[in-house]
Amino acid sequence: MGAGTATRRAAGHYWLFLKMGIRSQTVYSFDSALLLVAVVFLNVVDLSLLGVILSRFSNLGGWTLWEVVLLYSLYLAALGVQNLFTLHLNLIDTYVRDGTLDQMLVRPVSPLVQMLGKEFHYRNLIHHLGTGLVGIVLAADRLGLTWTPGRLAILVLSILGGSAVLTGIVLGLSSLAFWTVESQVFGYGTLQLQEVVQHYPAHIFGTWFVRLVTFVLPFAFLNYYPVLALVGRAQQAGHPFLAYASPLAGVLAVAAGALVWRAGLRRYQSTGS
Amino acid sequence: MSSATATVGRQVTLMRAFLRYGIEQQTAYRAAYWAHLWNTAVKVFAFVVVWRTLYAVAPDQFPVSRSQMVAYGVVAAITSEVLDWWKGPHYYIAYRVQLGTITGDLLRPISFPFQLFAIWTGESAAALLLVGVPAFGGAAVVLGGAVAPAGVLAGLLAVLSFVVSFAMLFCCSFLVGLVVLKTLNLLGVMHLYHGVLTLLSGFWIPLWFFPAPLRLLADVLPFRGIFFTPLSIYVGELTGTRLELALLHQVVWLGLLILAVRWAWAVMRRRLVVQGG
Repeated sequence: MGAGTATRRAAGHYWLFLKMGIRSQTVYSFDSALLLVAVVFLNVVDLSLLGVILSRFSNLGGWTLWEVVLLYSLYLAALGVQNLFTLHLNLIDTYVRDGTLDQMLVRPVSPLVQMLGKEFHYRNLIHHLGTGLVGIVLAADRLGLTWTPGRLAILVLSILGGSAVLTGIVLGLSSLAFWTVESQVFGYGTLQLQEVVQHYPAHIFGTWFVRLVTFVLPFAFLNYYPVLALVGRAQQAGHPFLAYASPLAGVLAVAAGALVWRAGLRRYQSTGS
Repeated sequence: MSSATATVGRQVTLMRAFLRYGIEQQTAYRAAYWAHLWNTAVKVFAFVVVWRTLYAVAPDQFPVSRSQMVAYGVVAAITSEVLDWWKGPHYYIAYRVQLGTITGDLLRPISFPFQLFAIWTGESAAALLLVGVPAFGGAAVVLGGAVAPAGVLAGLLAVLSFVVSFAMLFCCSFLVGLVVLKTLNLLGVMHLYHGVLTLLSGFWIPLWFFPAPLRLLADVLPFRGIFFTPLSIYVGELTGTRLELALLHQVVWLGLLILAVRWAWAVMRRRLVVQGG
């Protein structure tokens, strides 16, 4: 009962912080519109170029054009959901430096809940998530995949799981700021790796690469494994279970990220600014 | 005569100062430098694997040999990291306008475009030395002769072509910076710019794979001069008359872009409203 009340209170607080975050972003509508057009354009460019290549070459590592489109779009969708809720986690180092974290520590609410709910980036709603969903629907249609309840469940759970994986990774890497003060560089250091996982089927880079993006920085759970599940080729994953494991990977990644956060917070002394 | 020498001497001193500034900018955060080098290595690795995989599927689709395609991928990955168009002159302009410190830039007795060009040259030279050279060296160790240019002449002409492309990219970024000045929106404009370069410059997918209408568009516009032309020269795909025409395309567009920069800056500086401070 006590735990239930605490959870409800935390959820209430989360909602309150989200509302404040939304209000802080309602200005600058021209900026939002332009950014939306630009991000959609950029994704269309990437997909078109992949289309140019794959219409010439029947496949990339055994994957056809529309399977690669599905791969790319699933990544976008998961990235979109993560960006909606936790984009600001990239800024943990800034919050540590400028004293925003100190404000959170004096409030009688879990600092992690405050950090997660600090903003809701609804401007990113269509950017990635929308583009990703359009790509998924298109690709599924071309691949002749029908939306059975089972497949729909795999899709939704994979997107949510993938976004949790990303949140966990970002939370973990950004929380290194407690030791290094600067931490955005760690996220920056995974940028090309993410690009690679988003654009190409991971196995063409070798087994070691698949292991790297499965066990160390598990980006493959955003798109590579879910695609195998969706197109019914789960047996091509190292273990068929992996194809359905994005939700579990998400839980593990967030837990790992939260551990780094907590370890960091324990040794935290304000920078005094 | 002596005054001309003095002018040249002053320019050299200035360039040296800006070069030093560029190197400092590139190395101020050591962790960021290593992350940049790591990202470049990952990009090179990805490009090489993708082209080799595709080559295994259908070699007849390529107008070049397997090792030429690998060379294209390696140099494309590295040069597109060295000539970074996310943090170029346009970013500097937007940033300085927001801070209000652009007033200081405008007070200096050298033209603002030249200052930016000098700073960007310094930063790019530093990136070339600190990121480009080690990345290329690493690729050469792993891949051997495959990364070498088609020949000595092809190599030299590619360097020349990259110099022109460097100036072209500066002009494009500067013009984008002026658009940012006008709209005060950096992120959206930068994403659009990145999309255009990704599509039309050939640093990712070479233009020879493009369907006819897109190829025509890319051929006419300046952006292919930024990566596709020098890269095609480097791997020896462009030779003879086609090479001369491609260089001419680059030089003509550079001339037009320089005129555009001069004109746009002349108009804009009169209308400039400094925001912050």
